[in-house]
Amino acid sequence: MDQIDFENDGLSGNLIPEVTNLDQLRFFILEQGSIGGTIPSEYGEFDRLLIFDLDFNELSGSIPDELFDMKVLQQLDLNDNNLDGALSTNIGSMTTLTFLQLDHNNLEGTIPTEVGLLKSLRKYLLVATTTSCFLSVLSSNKSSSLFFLPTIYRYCIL
Amino acid sequence: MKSLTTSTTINFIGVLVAARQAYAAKHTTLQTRNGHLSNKLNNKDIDIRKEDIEFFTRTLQQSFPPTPQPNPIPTTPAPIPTRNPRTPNPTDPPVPVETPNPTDPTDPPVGVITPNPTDPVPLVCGLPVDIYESQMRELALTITDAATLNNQGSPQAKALNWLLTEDTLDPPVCPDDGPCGARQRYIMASFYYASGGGTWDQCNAPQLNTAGAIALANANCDRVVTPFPVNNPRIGATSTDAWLTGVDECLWGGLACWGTDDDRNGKISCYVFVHIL
Repeated sequence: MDQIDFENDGLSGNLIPEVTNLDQLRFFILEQGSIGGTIPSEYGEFDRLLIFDLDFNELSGSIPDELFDMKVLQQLDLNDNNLDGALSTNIGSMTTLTFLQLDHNNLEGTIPTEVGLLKSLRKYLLVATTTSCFLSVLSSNKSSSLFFLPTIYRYCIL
Repeated sequence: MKSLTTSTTINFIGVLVAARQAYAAKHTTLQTRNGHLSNKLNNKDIDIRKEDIEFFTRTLQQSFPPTPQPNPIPTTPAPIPTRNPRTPNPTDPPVPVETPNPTDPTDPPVGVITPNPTDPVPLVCGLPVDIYESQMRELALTITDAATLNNQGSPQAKALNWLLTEDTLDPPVCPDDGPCGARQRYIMASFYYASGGGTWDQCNAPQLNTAGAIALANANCDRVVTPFPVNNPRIGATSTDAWLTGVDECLWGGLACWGTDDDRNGKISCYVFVHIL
């Protein structure tokens, strides 16, 4: 299996850990549904996953630290869910990441400085667009400015 | 003399007389042989003596063997030999006893049911059905924990049950297919049940395994995968078959697989990772 790809097809229920046995999977896209529950920590075992896109669903709980063990992930889309907790410093190990969206969740705390290690990151959206929060969208071929990001922006507590 | 009494003997007086006459005749014969005649032999006034009674009694015993009398002491009946080694329940109905013919070499051994050799044995993947199901379950247990699989309401249990009882893929997936055979199909069926399959907007499984129902389900499946600019051969990227239909799972709407290989009877499969986006 190479690609599981659903967008706005009324998917619901929960994520199952069994899909990590699809060891050739590169695209796991379940956008705009009603999928709830937590993200299984086993998803960090995806060795070849390039895109992990579950935005606009009803996921809850924290983002498991193990999720950042994915070795070649390029796109992480988890915006517009009900995720909470703090962003793990392990995110700094996803050196292949080019696209990151985590906005519109209930994340707390500060952006870990390890985000600055994401040398390949070209576009990211970490905070929400509410009246009290600052929208942070950065598209740049330069990643050096990311080193200053943790001291400038903070997560919104929604 | 345990079974005859004196009164009984008297009741059989006619018999006694006859016996006495027979005795006398026999005696006469003996005396005649010896050249002596007894006056009493012709005397009709029969004189019954003790020796006569004993003789008559012996004669009657030989003519009328004792009638079995009810025994007031209960006895344990001898066990009834049966083929069933189970201890018979006293309330069980009588078990018919089959006596094997010792001269018939075709009689099966006791306790062995010999199938009719002309009956076809159903096989799946070359295995008897019960073995096939057992191996498929073992395969599922390498992917799913036992507690989840034993929960009949879980998506995984539903997926396994579907594979074993409803999947119409022909030839079926087999336990030794490799990572992209039974394993992949089981995982995708689990995904279907876990993500609300049946209530999706598109590509739901058909309600029935009829041609009409499948055609209707396929007609309501227009989902193709995002055309990422990958350069590996892909299967199912534009396929729009309904889920859980009897085609390779790579053809179900919303799925795409790495190209084909020919090591699984021509079935679509995954194989080595060759290219990266």
